[in-house]
Amino acid sequence: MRRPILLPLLAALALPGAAHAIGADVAGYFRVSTRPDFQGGDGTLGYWNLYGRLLNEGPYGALELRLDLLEPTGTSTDVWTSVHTKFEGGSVGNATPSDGSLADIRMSELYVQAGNIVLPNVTWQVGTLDTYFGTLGLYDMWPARIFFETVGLSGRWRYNDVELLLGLGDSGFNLKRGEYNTILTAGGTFRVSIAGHLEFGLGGQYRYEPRAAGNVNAPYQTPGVDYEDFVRGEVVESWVEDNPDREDYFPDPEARSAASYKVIGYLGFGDFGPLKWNSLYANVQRVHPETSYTEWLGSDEYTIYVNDLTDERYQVNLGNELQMTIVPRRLDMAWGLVWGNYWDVDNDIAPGEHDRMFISTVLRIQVYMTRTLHFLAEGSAAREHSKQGNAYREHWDSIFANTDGMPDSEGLEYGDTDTRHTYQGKFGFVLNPLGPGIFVRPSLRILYGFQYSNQNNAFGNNFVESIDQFNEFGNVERHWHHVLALETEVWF
Amino acid sequence: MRASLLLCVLLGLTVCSCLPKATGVQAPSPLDVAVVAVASYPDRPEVDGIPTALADALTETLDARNLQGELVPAADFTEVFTAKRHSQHRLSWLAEERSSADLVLLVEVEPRYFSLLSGRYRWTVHATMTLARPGATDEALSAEASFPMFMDFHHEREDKVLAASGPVLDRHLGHLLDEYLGGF
Repeated sequence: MRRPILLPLLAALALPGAAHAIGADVAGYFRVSTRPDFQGGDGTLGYWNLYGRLLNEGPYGALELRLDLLEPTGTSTDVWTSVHTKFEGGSVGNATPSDGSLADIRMSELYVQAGNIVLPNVTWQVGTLDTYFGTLGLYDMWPARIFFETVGLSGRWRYNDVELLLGLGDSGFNLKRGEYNTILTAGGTFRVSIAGHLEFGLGGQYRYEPRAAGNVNAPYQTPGVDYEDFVRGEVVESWVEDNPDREDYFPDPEARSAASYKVIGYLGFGDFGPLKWNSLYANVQRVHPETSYTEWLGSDEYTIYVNDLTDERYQVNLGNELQMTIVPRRLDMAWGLVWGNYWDVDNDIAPGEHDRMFISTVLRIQVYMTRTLHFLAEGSAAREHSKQGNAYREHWDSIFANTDGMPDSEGLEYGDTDTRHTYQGKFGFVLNPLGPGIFVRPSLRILYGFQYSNQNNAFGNNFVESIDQFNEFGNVERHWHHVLALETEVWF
Repeated sequence: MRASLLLCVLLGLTVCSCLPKATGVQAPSPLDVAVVAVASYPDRPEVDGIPTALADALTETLDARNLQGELVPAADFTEVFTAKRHSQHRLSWLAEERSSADLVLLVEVEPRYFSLLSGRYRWTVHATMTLARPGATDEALSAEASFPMFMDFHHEREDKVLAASGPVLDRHLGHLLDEYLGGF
């Protein structure tokens, strides 16, 4: 008889007063907000957290549980083991479109840890392996992260201020979902701390998806596919035009193997003078190639395999965050910087997510008027540039302001500019029951935010963008956006 | 309009600053309290004293209740407490060592790393606080508490966690002291 692992865990946590006795611990993170938007937006100031997480992210919740099956004791080197699980998702009642539906909550982590087995100072972990050096708190970004997609085995050796982690597993389900195929993943991290003032970390992972002829979910390439036809979704149509009445002879895919990698780095220093800490994160990665997509010709469905068309997508991401005490117990500051450069060697004709550069900076100050009542102000500036032509609409009628001033309904570009500039300002009052600190939580915030963007209506909305003469709602051109927010955020 | 808004804000701040501050139950007369505050760990047998910032916070909590705390130096108990792991045994030792004090207070804390949770390093601090008269340790009053502490950075380990736990630990200690002093 199978015994679901979560049932005893949840039952144990539900028993009043039993939590410590059986070594159970419950933790989590929640943020919930309401941001009435009189301009027709959906409650976020801008499109995404490149402009700072504040007012650009929606409600979210995470619940993490740990149950000690054999509790560690400092007095012996007995084996210890614990089971961990984490549920998370952006679904909160009355605050998100899904209205708190548990269908939008997923079990993102499940693993068992054990120690004092075979090797001293080593923590073994089997299950999900997600690990990262740290976070850019202003952006809610994790540039130095590996094994996010991986389930497997890792060993983390820690001795004083030196830490080494090695892991091995499979990333197939995360990267390919319902089209699972094994993606072997191996990697590790190394980190050393020096005197509490300097930290250095390096790591990486390599993913390999082996050739598996006969498996429809393995890497393949449909031969003779033109990249432009792929972008337009007209591979079959184009082939049939070139080969009339030979639909049955559409080329068979050829098996491939696929590989991708990610290298991460971290440099941290601080804890002297007014500098609390500065964290610099970096990654260089080759994105894992896509498998296939489908096209229809008449009533016939064709699967186009695209390994060779998507296997040379590269990224470089840098992120820095500095935290500083300007006036002790009165004024703190955090400053962040993010830079990214993405390029797709296979693509030199169409704008997209894999061919762009962006840079952003965010500055936040928090003034402690009393121990628990604070004033917060944040400003951000960001530039996003499409390297393959226009990708943004500056005006509601941008189709008439395309490249060379000519409308091109068959063009691959979108909008009338290749660069988006975004500026945001946010300020308001914060109630922090636990006292001063930019990242001390819980926080109860009353904020006002404004944004200027050269893109028209650069925030989530339901505006009708069609310029058809029968558009009964009309079009709106708006570059300033204003949001009021009541929100709270807590780690527990 | 702007002046009215500013006035409202200033008025709000004034009201906030005038909110009554909570004060603890006062001892009827100044009492000497010998305090041992000891940190132990789930992954090693050694014990330590607590960071200065936390010690100062504990002392302030005692002062606020007309109690004069005397912190026993860590060197006096670390070797003994490495062997003595049970609160009752430690309290008995403290009562013998500081038999002239009006009260003895044993504060035991154990920080344990939980996980890197949504970008913050989560720790759990388990604390046991025991208060007694030196000659009546069997009538000791004790309280236990487990609470989370969140740190921003990886290098912030046990000592930083304990130093940051002052505001929460003080609250639990304050409740214990108030209960004890309320029975006088």
